[in-house]
Amino acid sequence: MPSVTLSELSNAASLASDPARSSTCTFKPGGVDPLGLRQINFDLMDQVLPGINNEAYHIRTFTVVTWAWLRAAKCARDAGKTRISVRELEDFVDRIEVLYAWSQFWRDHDADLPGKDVLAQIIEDGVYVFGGKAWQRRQEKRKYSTSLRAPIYYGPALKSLGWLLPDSEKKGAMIASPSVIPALAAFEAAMEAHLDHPAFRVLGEVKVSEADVRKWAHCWALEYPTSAERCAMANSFLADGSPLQRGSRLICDVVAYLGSSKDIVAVRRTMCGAPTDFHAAQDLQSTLDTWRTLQIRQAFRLSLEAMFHWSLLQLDDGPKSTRSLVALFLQQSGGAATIDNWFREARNEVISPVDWLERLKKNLADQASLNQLPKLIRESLAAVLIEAPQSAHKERHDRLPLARANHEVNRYRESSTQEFLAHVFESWIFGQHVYWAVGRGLADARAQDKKILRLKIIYEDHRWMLAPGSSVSTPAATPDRLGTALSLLREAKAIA
Amino acid sequence: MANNILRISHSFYFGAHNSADSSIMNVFSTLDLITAHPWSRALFTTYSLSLSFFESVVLDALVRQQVGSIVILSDIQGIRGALSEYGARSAGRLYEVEPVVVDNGSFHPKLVVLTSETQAHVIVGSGNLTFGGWGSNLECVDHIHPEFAADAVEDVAGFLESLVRSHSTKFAAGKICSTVASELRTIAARGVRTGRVRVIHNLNRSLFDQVGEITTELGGARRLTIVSPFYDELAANELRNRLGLQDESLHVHEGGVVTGSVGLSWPTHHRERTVPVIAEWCNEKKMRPLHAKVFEIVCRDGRIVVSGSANATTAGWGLNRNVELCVIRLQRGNTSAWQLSHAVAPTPTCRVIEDDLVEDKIEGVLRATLTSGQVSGSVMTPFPSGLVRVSRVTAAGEFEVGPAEIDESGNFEFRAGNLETHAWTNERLLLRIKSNGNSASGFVMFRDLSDIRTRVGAASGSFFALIAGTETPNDVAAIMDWFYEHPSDLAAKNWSARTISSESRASEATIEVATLLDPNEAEVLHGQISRSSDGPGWRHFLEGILNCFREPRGPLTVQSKSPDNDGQGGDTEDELVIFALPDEAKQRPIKAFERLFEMMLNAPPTRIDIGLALRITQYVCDRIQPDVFLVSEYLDKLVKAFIQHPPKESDRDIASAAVMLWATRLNTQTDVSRARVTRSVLLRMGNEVRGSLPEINLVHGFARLIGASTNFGVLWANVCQYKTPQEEVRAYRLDKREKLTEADYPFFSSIPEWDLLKQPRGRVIHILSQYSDVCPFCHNKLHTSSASRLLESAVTSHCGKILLCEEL
Repeated sequence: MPSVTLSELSNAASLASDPARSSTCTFKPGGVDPLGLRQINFDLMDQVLPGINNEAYHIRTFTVVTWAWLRAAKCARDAGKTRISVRELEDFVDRIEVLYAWSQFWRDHDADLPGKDVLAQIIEDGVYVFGGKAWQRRQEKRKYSTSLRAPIYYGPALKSLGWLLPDSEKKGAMIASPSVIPALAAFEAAMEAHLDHPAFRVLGEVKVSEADVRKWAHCWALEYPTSAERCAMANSFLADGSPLQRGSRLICDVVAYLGSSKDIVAVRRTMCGAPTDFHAAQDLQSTLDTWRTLQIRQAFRLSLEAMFHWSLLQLDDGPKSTRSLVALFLQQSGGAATIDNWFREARNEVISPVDWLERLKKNLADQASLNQLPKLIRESLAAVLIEAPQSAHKERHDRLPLARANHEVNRYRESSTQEFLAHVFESWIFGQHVYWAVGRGLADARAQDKKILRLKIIYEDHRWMLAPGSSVSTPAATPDRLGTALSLLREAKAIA
Repeated sequence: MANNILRISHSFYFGAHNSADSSIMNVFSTLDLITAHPWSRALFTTYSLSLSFFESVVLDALVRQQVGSIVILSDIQGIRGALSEYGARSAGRLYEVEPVVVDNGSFHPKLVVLTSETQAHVIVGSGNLTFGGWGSNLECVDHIHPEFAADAVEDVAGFLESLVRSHSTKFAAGKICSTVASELRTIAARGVRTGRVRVIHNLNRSLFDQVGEITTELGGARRLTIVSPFYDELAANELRNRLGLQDESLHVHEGGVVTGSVGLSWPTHHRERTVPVIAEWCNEKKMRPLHAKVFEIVCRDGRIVVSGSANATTAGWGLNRNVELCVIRLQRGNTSAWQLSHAVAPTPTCRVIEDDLVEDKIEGVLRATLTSGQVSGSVMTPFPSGLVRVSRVTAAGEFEVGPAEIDESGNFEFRAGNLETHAWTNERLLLRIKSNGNSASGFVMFRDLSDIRTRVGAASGSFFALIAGTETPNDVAAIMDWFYEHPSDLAAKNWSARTISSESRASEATIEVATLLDPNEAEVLHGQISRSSDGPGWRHFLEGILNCFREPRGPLTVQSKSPDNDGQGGDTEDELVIFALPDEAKQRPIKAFERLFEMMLNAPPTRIDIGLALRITQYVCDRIQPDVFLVSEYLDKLVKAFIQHPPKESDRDIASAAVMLWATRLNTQTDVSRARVTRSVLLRMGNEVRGSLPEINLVHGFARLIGASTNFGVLWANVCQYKTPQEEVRAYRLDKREKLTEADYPFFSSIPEWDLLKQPRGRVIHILSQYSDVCPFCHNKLHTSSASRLLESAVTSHCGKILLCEEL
């Protein structure tokens, strides 16, 4: 529905005695991945650590959700039902999820589970009725946010790691995979003393108090999976046929080489090979290469986003032409006669792409050293471009593959740094930004979806300026799933 | 005398306004008007142009309203700026941008025309198509429609017609201007004429003349108040003279004025004739830079307000300079004038050209269209005739297209060649021509897209999004639905034969002999070609779509708010997270796809194209990521369909790759039996089982979901090594040796009948060239298990005989 109707606008126009003043446009700003470079990184992550995200950290959560589906089916059977709606099953699973989170937050206020804030009221009240409209509203709200099986938490991994399988009728119910049944049995054995409680025994409305929750809290503690659960998770990662097998084996070999998995940066760095002394097993060499390519891409992306960030900070002082931005950038990064020299002179150190990434992160986090950012961007670009592949293969041109970037560097090899950097600002930074900001906006428009102004800069009267309402937030590298993999492998005792 | 006039004037300044009249405080948003009605056409005129603004704000609103025709007429200065915006992708595709060159001036009107079958609304104002013009600056806006000002709407039609006829302007959008003028006149004919609001322009007569005449009609001017960011003294003198006034009041804007390249912000001479005031019209809580141009003339018998694009400059008000468009409001009798308050005259400023904006050489501007493989265009700015080099300008650099000849009028024409291929991708087309140190660049309007929009209708946005790689699950569903509704566009002739040319070199292209011998096929082909919309444009469009289905794009994702706010809060960058499509979002596209999939697999023989079905399936799997069991099911059906309808030559590689992936899901006991089944399927499809491993990347969309852990090298080696039972039967039939060895018959040697088979052949062994479930000796139907064994293992025993079958 439009906020103003045509009839209202027509009436106002016919009554006006003077021209109107233009209204101030108010836009809802937003948007992530401002240069549209992220998808290539995701694709590379999918090649090494497919099927997991950056949130599914604990084995026990896999068990609880999988068990909840199995338990719901058993409750239906015990109630004499021959058919049951998916809605009823989901209702039970939702209840178990909330009870689980409630109990774990009771044990540990900082338990690593989603929904602490939204559960605060239940925790404070000390009693909750899982039924009625309030419960339905809560279920609806948490479906894509704090639910354990929400897409941003354990939902995708529960399926991709083979813990839950879709029902044969494709109705939306989930079935516990035979491969994890021993894990569920061990879990249920630990919970046996409490399974008589209606919360675990009946479908439909139940009332639970904090006293109940307290009793169960330690029995299904987040950080203590049974050995059967650990074994199931280890199989999910390392068994033959697991899509994660090669990536996990590389992690295991690297952790064995390092002697510990505690320093995630060290693991990430070593997984890239040189300049560390780690050599992967022959059949894992391609996995190591892909991981290195990913980290190079991560450093490339963060370098360009840092450059975008630096530009926004400059434009915060007022509109500037490309020429002004280039001059400022060169002032801070240092110049050279040709672009070839500009990069060559910046290649003083041989460090891992992971370390370039770390240096960029550190610099971006420290406001005081932002004037050193252009020099760091120059160095990190010089380091990653030298490892650019010859061909972009299947990487999309408009995602600015490293091969394309390097190809363009070569075309400017003999050009002045000013000319090349003007191209970088106008094409790699601002061009990419406008392209993806507008493209995503138009996709929303076609779907009649939300309206967000993703554009942070605009070009008017031959100058770049900040778009109305745009904020200058610090860029960050997209997490590469290594943290999740390490956590699950550690819990599974597959690594130290 | 001067004092006397000032005194009289003061009484106007501070006493005459009825503050109860709130209408002068109206604010207006053109975006509100765009979103208030399903418009079919939008026309914009502007001086400055920010395409990033237009696409992210205005085009967004127009797309939401599904406006079909969108055209921007812009001064060449605006075009020059827009050409640098590499990220703005839709110029020439979703909307047209036409440069306008004005002799001795600028194309300066700021007009928006929105029409539909029943409505025609017009906005005349001071705001350019920029963020500044649509909100950041203080601009004036007049919203006009036929329900109260049909005569003003007709004036706008007249302006567009004059523009087409004008000898002082050069532009190529005459047809669209005439069409819009005609639509305005049609709808205005049913409207109300009051004469209170009119629209004036200076294409034929100066604004000085026109406003002077109207002032006289209202008994002569008594006070002039000017709100304008730019000012020149010649114009002020001329206006005072025409109105018979000794002085004018000039608004001093607290928020400052926008920077510009012409005029001053305040007079430097004869400053005593200019009274600094603050005009009530400009009051707002948060002051924005002034860019509005409003002139209030209080007359003896009424009041006139002139507002629009014209600054208080000679270029704005004179003849044969800028092209300007203003609204003139006439109020007769006692009316309320603006309340003015004292102000202090500011120091005059003019724009300082910064060094960094001084360009070595100003680039010329061209415009072109690409229609049916032909590029036609003209250089709008002076350019020498002769041979030029044409290049395509992209974000990645400049790429040579070829030579072209510029004639004396600046026109050129050449075959598009590869340029057309690029036009079907997601990039805008921007050409540059160079010759002897001269260069000009400009947008190419891709006219074939208009035909596509007409043909595809509401789904066109989804198709263009697919080409741009920005499709959503709903777009995928819309595209699947569209093909389901238009099966003839999926006919093998429409796609595959055409796409062969883009997949392989022309010399390698092949055509199926059967199609050459089948008169019905020829008729279908002829019928399609005879349809005008199946011209090269449509063909290339389909090729572009097919290329999208081939491209590995990766899973679609959705953005959501961060988990712990539970749906509350804003979409700031920090709060947004990306995650895989939820199952709900997958349902619609999967359902639409499955409907299309079944239709494609069951299409009549003349239309069936399993290769295309495979590519579409792969695309859907890659983007939507259905559950693995569904993906396996699709693959299974495709492989079975390929057995029934062997792949075309151009589909053989992808079909082999699909079979390899399908084999990973086979429930076989050993690797050897898996290899034999796979080999059998490949042979039945007519594919080769030797040489290098099929390129699994060809089926990346499936491979992303299944078969990730398979060692395809080993599987392929087995497929190449282990012959099928049927192949052993054939070898057996041809084998004349007395004694057979296990090494030559690895399968036979593993079955119970081997002892008999390896003996010199006798009457007990019978070889069937074709499979049958009826015994050729007793003519009884074979037992199910026997028949099944004969079919799969090529051997069975019946009525005391061994039956072998060599049919795959």
